[in-house]
Amino acid sequence: MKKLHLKFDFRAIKESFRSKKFKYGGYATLMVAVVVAIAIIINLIVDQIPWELDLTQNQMYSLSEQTNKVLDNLKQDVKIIALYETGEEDKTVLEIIERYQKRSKRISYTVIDPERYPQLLTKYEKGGESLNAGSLIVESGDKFKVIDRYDLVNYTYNEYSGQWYAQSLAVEQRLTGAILYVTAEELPVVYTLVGHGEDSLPYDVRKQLELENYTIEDLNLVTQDSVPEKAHALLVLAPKRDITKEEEERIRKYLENQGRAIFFIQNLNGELPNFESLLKSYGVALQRVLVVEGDPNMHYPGNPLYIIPNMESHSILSPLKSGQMYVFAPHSQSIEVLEMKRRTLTIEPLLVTSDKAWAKTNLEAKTIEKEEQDLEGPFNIAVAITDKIYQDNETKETRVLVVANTNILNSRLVSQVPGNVNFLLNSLNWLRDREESISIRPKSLTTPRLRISAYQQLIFSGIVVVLIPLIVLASGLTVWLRRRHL
Amino acid sequence: MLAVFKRELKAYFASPTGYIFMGFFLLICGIFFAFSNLLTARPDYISVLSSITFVFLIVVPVLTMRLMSEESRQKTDQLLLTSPLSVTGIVLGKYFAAVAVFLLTLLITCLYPVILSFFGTIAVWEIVGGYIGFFLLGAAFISIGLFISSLTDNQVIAAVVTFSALLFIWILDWVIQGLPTDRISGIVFACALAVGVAALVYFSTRNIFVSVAIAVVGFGIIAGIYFSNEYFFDGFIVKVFEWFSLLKRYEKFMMGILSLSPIVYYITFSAVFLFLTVRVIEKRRWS
Repeated sequence: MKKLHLKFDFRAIKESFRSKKFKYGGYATLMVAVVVAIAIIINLIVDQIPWELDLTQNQMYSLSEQTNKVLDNLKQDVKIIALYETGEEDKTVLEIIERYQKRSKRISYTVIDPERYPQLLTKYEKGGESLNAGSLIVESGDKFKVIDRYDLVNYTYNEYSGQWYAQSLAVEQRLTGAILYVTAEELPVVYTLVGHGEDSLPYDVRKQLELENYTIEDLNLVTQDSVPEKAHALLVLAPKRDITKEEEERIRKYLENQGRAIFFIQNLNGELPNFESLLKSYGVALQRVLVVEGDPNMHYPGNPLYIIPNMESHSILSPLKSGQMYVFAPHSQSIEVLEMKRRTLTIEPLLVTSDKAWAKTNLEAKTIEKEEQDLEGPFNIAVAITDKIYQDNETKETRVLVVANTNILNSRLVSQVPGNVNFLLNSLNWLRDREESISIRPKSLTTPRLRISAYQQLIFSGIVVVLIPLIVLASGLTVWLRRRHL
Repeated sequence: MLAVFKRELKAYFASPTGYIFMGFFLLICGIFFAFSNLLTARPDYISVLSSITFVFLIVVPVLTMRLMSEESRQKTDQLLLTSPLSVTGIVLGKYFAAVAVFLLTLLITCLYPVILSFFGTIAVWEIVGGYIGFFLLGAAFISIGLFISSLTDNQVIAAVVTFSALLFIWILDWVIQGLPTDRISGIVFACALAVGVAALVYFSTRNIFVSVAIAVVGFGIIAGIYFSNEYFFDGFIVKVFEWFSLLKRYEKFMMGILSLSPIVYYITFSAVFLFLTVRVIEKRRWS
């Protein structure tokens, strides 16, 4: 007699109270409750044990040496606020933040729902920008920094599909940068020279510099009598007119006193004598020529003026190489290293054309083809200059970067060629050894594809979808049939 | 225990059940593997393991439906219970037999990443971690099936109820997103939990004093937490459900992290259900 009854504990309990065994029944239920409670408590305790292994290939969730050093040296408390709507959290980002918290007792973090508590976030909204979900705020004392959600991932533009896709994860870079920013005593200021028709820095470059904690200020050396002592570096971007003798003196004075500067400069459209005499004292001269690249692998397809120069080995360029980035330098001039220069100068070429390049000396020429009077390559497009002077038992070091190109930082290029902005950032870092921000690399989010032919794809798909299940089911069928005929 | 284990394992491969389970599991796994790795030429295998978790819905009932119910239908449970084996030994033997069939099936799927490694580099440790998580998750589902199988003496009912129970777990995971996340509802929910625990204690012991004391202590804890951290109850309902959710905890493995808490949770989850199964059989023995 098959009687279907699901015995639910609850009914059994009620009955057991009427029976003699009601005590036993009550005891049994209580025992179950106690076991469940013990299991829950065990798990709550285990939740507190921070034992985790990062099994990902590129150590997606592990912090770099640099970050750990920064965290271990924290002198003040830092609060990280992640803005996520409840239930919409980004696991990967939170996982990384938790690693920060585990590393340092000075880090605390909370998740706040921006939809629910906008009033808590009003103090972080600068310039009326509302904070969107997915952003992070890093705060210490009275300083704070907002990291937008789109800055946590580096996107690259695919020219073939015309789409942006996520290339790498920069959470650690941004967070460590922000922690450095809010805990730093004073922030590096980059002064941009104005008053000679200089280009202004494009928005993208400004933003990148701000992410790296630089403050950017204009400097007019006609009204100011010197470059401020605390300057991180002086940036001269594509001046169209020359500086006055007075300004040249002021820059010279700054440089001689351990100054640092970077020049993006060309004189194709007119001589810049004072600038040129300044460069000459650092052992280089701008050649009034237009460089044409003869090696088809080193220029943009179809345009030999759009040069993609070779990168020499230098700490400025090694991160670019490892990140497989390139610098794109359209319409470059060449930098000549002078025979007659001070012995204290070290001049290292950074960006160099191939030896198949030539340079047009006749700027009025109708053709870019090689002509008789043209110069033979290779040409330096960018050089790094170090000047070490030993004086009164101390070393004074001056560093200058000269780039014979004014288009590298134009806004259209920097949005499409990540190498160009990175070249500037690494150069600024090199000018004043800010190594902590150089070496945190973004974690790649792209995986290389399998090298598999269409034929192999079909064969193996057939094996896993048809063959293997079929073998199992067939053997099952034979066993079943054999047993039926027993 | 070992004797029961061997007998059950033999039974799986002497009847169609074991083959149906393996065949169907491998078919689904193979389809997903072919479409997400082979045909798109991507080496990212760990995502296959996370996208086929739904397969448990269908295959776990097949695997566990006959474990206990068949015994009581054929009246062989009398023999088992009167044998010198302990009830715990019997339950464990059956459970491990089902888990062994599942493990065997997983071992066959280990061929897939090996195939991938011919054509590119694979993230070996990530995949190992993913398999550990996948195995423990399956084992937890099997323990649910075993428990349900012990409640009834009809295979079909056991299968249908197991399927429904697992479906409920999945639906709960979708519903979680829509649950209220404000502070008030969190506090109300916490109070309801305290009252529920107190009520359970009252019905089992009929001791009004102890029950009221438990409820009061619960309210005290809630108030204490609220005044020490006012944000604690924001989204409390969601947090509680996510904490108990088997699928939510699988996300860590999916991300490529081997973490202690989901591993311990899956093991204790299975242990609790095995304990419940033992209780049900013991009860039947005494009634």
